[in-house]
Order: sequence, then structure tokens, then C-alpha cells
Amino acid sequence: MTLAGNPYHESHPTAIIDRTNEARAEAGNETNSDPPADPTLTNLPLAPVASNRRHPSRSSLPTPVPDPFPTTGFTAIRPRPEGLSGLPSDLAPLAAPAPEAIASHFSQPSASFSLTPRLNSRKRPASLMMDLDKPGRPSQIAPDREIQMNRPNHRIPRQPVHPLRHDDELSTAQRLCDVTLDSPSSPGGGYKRMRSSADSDAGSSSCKDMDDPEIMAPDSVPALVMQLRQLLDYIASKPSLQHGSASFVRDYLRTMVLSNSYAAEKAIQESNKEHKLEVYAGRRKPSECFKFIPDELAKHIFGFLEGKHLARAREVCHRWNDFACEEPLWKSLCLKKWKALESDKDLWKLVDKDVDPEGPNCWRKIFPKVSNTSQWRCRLQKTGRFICNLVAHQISGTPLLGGLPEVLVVERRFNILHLQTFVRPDASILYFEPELASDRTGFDDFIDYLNKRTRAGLALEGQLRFIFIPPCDYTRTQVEYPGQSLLGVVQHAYPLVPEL
Amino acid sequence: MADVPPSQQSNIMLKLKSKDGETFEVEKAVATQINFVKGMLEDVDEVDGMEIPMGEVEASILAKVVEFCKFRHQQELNQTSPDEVDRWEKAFVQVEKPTLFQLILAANFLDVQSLLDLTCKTVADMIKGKTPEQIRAEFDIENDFTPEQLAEVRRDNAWCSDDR
Repeated sequence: MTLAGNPYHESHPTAIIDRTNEARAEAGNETNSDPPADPTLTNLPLAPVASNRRHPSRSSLPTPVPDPFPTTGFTAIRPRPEGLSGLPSDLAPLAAPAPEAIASHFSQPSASFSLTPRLNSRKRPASLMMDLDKPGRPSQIAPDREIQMNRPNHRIPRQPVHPLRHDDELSTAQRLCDVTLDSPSSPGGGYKRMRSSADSDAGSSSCKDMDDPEIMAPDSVPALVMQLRQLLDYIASKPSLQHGSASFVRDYLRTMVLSNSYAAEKAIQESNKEHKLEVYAGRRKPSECFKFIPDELAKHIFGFLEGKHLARAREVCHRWNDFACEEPLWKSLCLKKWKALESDKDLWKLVDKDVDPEGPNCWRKIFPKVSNTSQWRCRLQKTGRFICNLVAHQISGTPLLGGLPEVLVVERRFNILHLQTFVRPDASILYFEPELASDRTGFDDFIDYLNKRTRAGLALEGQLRFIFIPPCDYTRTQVEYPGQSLLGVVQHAYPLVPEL
Repeated sequence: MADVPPSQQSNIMLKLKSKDGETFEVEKAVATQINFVKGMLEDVDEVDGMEIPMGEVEASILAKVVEFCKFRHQQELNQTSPDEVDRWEKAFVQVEKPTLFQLILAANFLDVQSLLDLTCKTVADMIKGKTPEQIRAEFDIENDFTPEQLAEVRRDNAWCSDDR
């Protein structure tokens, strides 16, 4: 079983933000940290904004305790053009794709895991080191088989850290973590051992000089592992933290993960910028990630785009033009807005008379008009009785700026023959469709109900009159719609003084 | 997945083996978030500690896939709030483009639909709101249109030219 069932869930950054201050409070850490450089991080006082750990404001924790919120020199970690060549030779195994080498590298306790030479020289509680020095999954750096990587430090594996893992030789620190993370309230059998080991060794550890800003990439396993070690060291040195709630550890982990992911984000952006500049300058070949994406996956990606973005994507290159012209994409975009286009071919003429519903690329061609059409939802009722939910699309006439009221109640019916005189030439013409499949029956019944006695329905709402017109001569001749759906007319009530 | 009570499921551990030989030990309930694994288990009787080869998926990518499945599993158990899921997912896809694209390929191969949707949507979000020039720069794509061809596409796109 892995640590605490699934500690990753618990320790994930998602929950950090609002708990950060709590964490600090519990840690008794009165840090007056520098104002975060990034305004979005104002509520993250622990984010690694200050690169210099020796900054006075950061040395708030009593020495020789390691800073519980180490910054590990994040800002210094810019991707370096020469790749890993500048790293100490100890890091070379991390960059080489040899799993066994790495595994053995990790499995030798303190002597190995050469994150930094200085780190190794530190004296740390041996029991604390074992679990981290022997992660369950040695960091495997897969040489990127298909996609060329272009960042210098990409070769440092970015992989969730699973340093603590159940093992026969469960270390004390690991037990501590198991207990604290798993069940904060459980009596700590592991605590005692933890304490004894901490008591004997606490104080000997000092990480003053372990963060060489030249070495760590923010988005690297070593950086995170080092922070984890610091956490364990810190706990080991603080008897008060070895009891009771795991809240502090949890918050620490969350903060750590969040600051790490913030640093990673910055590094990724930075390297993207750098990469782009180099590509433009002709020094580097483009990576062309998309080249390795099979067509059907590319189409899946394009399926998440809105119409105007999809159209814009056509201008990128031939391949994108082909993807972005795929009719199924445009069809689903159209139907998302206007379901009836699928079944009611007579509707097409109302929307755009220049598009042949059977012609090539018809969905792509009709989309601009469809996307420009206003639409509203509305609940249709007869007096006291629900009929169905409607979607109304305006097809012509004066733009209906106010939209439709949420509920329309059909109070009266009148003979369709009167439409010729009743409907004014500037009235707004609507096309109705049932909102969901379950609304279809009510919708059809309502059309039948009107048709049976050749009636149009009338609803009043303030100064507006809403007229519901079933398929009839009027819709065929006046609106030029030979289809079977329900149309609507919206107009202001007759002026009190008729215009002459 | 729901055919065995969770208490029994959690007893069975499976080892997912990457292309480069690393194994990731996960609970069966987590592993079956991967349809590829689920399908495989339908054909054989699962044994505790069974090793399942994950095809061409490399360890660094498989680790991400496993994390994703663990989170999904936790989400199902704990009814994680949509807000929290959003934030988790946002952090999850915060990787470099090559990794993101490899994740897409892996999600497709392993048939993890929600991961595929998440990663594809992330790429789509990178496309949104950008001019063609910006998109080419973002994805290192070469413009292989002749000026005439480009003009023709632009004519088609006249309707959305205001939205640039």
C-alpha cells in the first residue's frame, strides 16, 4: 500500500491557497515574507518569490532547523542553453536514460542521490534519509522517443514524487508520515521512534548551504525531493510537531506542491519564450508537436474549439485547414445552437438562402449565419398548464432586443385568417423548437391543438404580443417557410392612436 | 468497476509496466480507470500483483496517467467539489508541450477518455483567441500556404474577421 492510501489527493495544491496561512500559524512561523512578485500569488506568502534564502525575513525559524519553507533558489533556475553540461557531474546519471543506474543510484543511502554535492555532506538522521533515498520509483528519464524536446532542462524528469513507499524496511520517518497523513488522530506508535531518532540527530542537520541556485531546476524531481527532506528534517527537529493533527504536514505539502508548480509554470513559460526566439533566429529546429498527433486525435482537439477559433485555425497551414474543414465539427457546432437544422431542411432557407442543405461543406457555410442568430429559452404554458420548454431563434424582422420572457402563457387563440391584417410588417419573426427531446410531445400536441381549428395562439407580456403560428398558408406565403415547425411573431401592441 | 465492493477491490494490486520496464503498483480500482487495463482484465482472472504491460507508454508519462487515475478514483470516492477538480486538473496539465502531447497519445492508446478530453481541451485552449501567426509560433508550425491559397481561406473567414 502506498503512503496513506493516496496522499497525493490530500496534498495536492488545489487546496492550498486558503490554508496557507493556517499552515504558517501552526508552524509558529511568523515570517514577514516579501511581497510576492506576482499579484496572483498575493495569498501565497510561501511561494518562492524570494530567491535568496538568506534574506533576513526568511530566517524566521530557529536555527539549526532547516527553513520549513525553503525556496531552493527557484529564481535562479533559468533553462540554460548548454543543457545539463553546467550541472555537477553527480547529476549526470539523472540526465541519462539508464533506469538501473538510477535505481542503484537512489538505493544507496546517504552516499547517493547526489542532488548536490553539498547536500550529501550534510549530516542528517540516517533513518530519515532512507526512505527518500530509496524512492519506490527511481526517476526514470525516458529519452523522448518521438517528440523532440527543446528545453535544456527538460531531461530532468518531471514526475510526481513517490519517495515514500511501503517497504519491509520501513523507516521511522516514513512511519511518521504514514501515521500523520493517514489518520491524524490515531495514537502514534511511530511517533516514539521518530522522536528518539530525531532527538539524537536533530541539531546536527543544517541546510544552510544546500541550495545552490545554480543546480536545481524548479520543475525537477531533485528540487522537490530536497524540499521533502527538509520537511522531514524539520519535523524531526521539532518534538512539538510530532504529535496530534497532521494539519501542519498536510499544509506544508500543499504549499510545497503549489510553490513548485508555480515555479514550474514560470520555467515552462520562460523556456517556451526562449525556444521561440531560437526558432525564429534559425538556431533551433521547431518541435512541431502536432506532427505526431494522428489525424483523429487532432480532430478531437479541434472539437473543443468554438466556430470562430476553428475558422481562424484554418489559416495556420494546409493540415490544419483540412482538419478545421471537417464537416462533422461544423455540424456539431451548428446543432449545438440550433438542433432543428438536422431534421428541418426547410429551415435552412430561412437561415441562409444561399446555402444548399445538400451541398458540400453546407454546415461550415451556414455556420456564420447560425452563430449570428439570437436565441432564447422560454417556458410555454397554456393558462395554468405547462406545454413545453422552447428555444426561439429570430429569423427576420426587427431585432428582438429584450429577448423572450422566461414564461409565456398562451391565453387566447384567434383565427389564422386574421394574421394578414394583424401582423405588422416590421414584426420580429421567430422559429421555435422544443428544447429537449422530452419537450417534443408537448410541442407537437400544441401545434395540433392550434391546427385543429386553424388558430394562432396569443400571449401577452407587457406591451408585447407573442403570436404562435402553426404551419399554414400564412407561414408558407408570408414567411416562405414550407416546413412543419412552429413559428412566432412578436410585435408591440397596436398604438393607441393608429398612425395614418 | 462497480461489480466488486470497494473493500475487496482494494486488496488486489496490479503492476502497470511501462515500455521502459518500470512498474507502477496501483489498486485495481485505480487501474480499471484505464479502459485498456479493464478490457484486459475481462479476459483473464486477475491475480494480486499481476503485471500488465502498458505498450509503448513510457514511465514518465505512465506516472502521470497513474496520478490522473488515482485522482479520478479519489474523486469518485470523496465527491470532490467541481472547483477543486478544476484546480487539480489545471495543475495536472501544467506541463511542457511535448509531455502534454505524449499524454494525449497515451490517453488515446490506453483509452482513458476523461484524460484524453482534458489534454485535448488544454491544447484547444492554447489555440483559442490567437491569430494564425501566434498559433504557428506556439506550435512551431510552418506556413505552407501560397499567398493565393491563404487569401482564399481568409475570404471564407471574412465573417469572423472582427474577432481577431
